[in-house]
Formats: sequence, structure tokens, C-alpha cells
Amino acid sequence: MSGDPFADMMVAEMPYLRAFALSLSGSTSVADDLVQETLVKAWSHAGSFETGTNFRAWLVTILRNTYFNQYRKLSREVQDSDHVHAGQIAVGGEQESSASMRDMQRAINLLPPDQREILLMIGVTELSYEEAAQICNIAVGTVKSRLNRARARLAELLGLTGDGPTGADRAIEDRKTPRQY
Amino acid sequence: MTMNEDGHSPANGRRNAATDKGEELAEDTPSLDPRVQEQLGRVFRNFCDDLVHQPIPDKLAVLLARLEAKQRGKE
Repeated sequence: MSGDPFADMMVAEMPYLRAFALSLSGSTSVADDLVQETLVKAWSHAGSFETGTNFRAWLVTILRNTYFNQYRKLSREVQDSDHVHAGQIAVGGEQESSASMRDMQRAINLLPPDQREILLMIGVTELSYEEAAQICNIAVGTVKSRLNRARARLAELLGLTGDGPTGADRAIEDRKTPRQY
Repeated sequence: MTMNEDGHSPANGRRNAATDKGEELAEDTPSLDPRVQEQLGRVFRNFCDDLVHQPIPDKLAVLLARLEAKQRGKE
């Protein structure tokens, strides 16, 4: 640790920030650029962070706005090339391996951006519904409905049926295999 | 850029999920089969944990150190 409290806070949040960037963009290169840009912006606007508020939510706000302003179009192009060899998503559970980690990312990439960002703010960065609502400037009820739509769509894309054993269980077993982005 | 008043409390979606569940189901569109929901929750949680534990590239740590050094130079 550096001794600079602001830097230490940034270091502590880095894993969440990068995880959010990776899953939002679906691309390692875009995610790293995004995190870099977020760090620079956060640093230069450190004065606008209000002590006592959620630092992670503040960083997520910066990253999310950066992404939607600059990277959305680009990331879609990069995504396509990054995922050329990604596994197929099974339709109707015809493939037992349908829910591998890679397939999860691929399914997330297919969600509409407004549902995807909500799903990831809640799931990956563990923000509250209220924080997600504030960041996206929408009502809490809208957060919940986007989340539900995202879940329903993911279950469909992954071919989850609720019956075991399934691809989902296999995906858990596969955890120790390093995933590639 | 401010967050909600109770900002720093580690409120999170997962913990809120239990209390919000009724409301969520009541107001919402597609409701998943509980078994599917459970299965999805498990796989998704796994995915999130895995992502958060990805190693941080050196270049990000280097950037942070550089920002900090610049700051120190200004002071």
C-alpha cells in the first residue's frame, strides 16, 4: 500500500472495477483501456468524491459513463473478433456444456445494454438497487424489472431448465480452468 | 457525482434480494421457475466471483503509481 488514502481506495476497488469492465465490454483490451481511463478521471476529479459515500459506486459511475460515451460501438466490434472461437450457446439445452463461464459472457454480451449494465452493477460490483438506479438515472422499480428481464433472457440463452445434472453444474466444476478473455 | 445518503454502507443486491423478492415478483414481467432461478443464480455467482478474482494487469498498477507520483510532485 502506498500510504495515500485515495490511491489505497483505488487499489482496493480495482478488482471490482476491472471485473465490471470485462463483463460489460466482453473484451480484455477494451476493459483495460476503460479501467485506465477511469483511474485517470477519478484521480483528476478526486475532489468531487464525497467522503462517506460509496467509493465503488462513484468509480462505477465514471466507468459506465466512459463506456457509454466512447466505447460502446468500438467494444461491439472488438467483441466480435474476440469471440470468434467462443463456444456456441445451446438452444433448448441441447448442449450439456451450455453454461460454461465463457458461454455466460457470451450470453451477457447478447443482453440489451440497459439490462446488461444493471445485471453487472448488482451482480459483479455488488451495488444496491438504489445505487444502480441513481447511476442510471432510473427508478428502483425499473432496475428490478431490467434485472428480471436480464435473468430470464440469460436462462433462455444458456438453456437452463432447472433439471440437473446440467451444463450449469458442469460450469461450476470447470471453475478451476482459467478462463480466457 | 454523489451516491445515496447511506452510500458507504455495503448495501448490495444479493443481500437485498431476499427482502426485495416479493416486491420484485409482484411488479415484474417474466418470473422464472424457482429451480431455473436457483440454477442461474449459482452459475452467475460463480461467474462473478471468478471475474473479481482475475489478476490485475501490471499496467494498471503502474498507472496508479504514476498518478500518485505526479500528485506527490505537485504537493
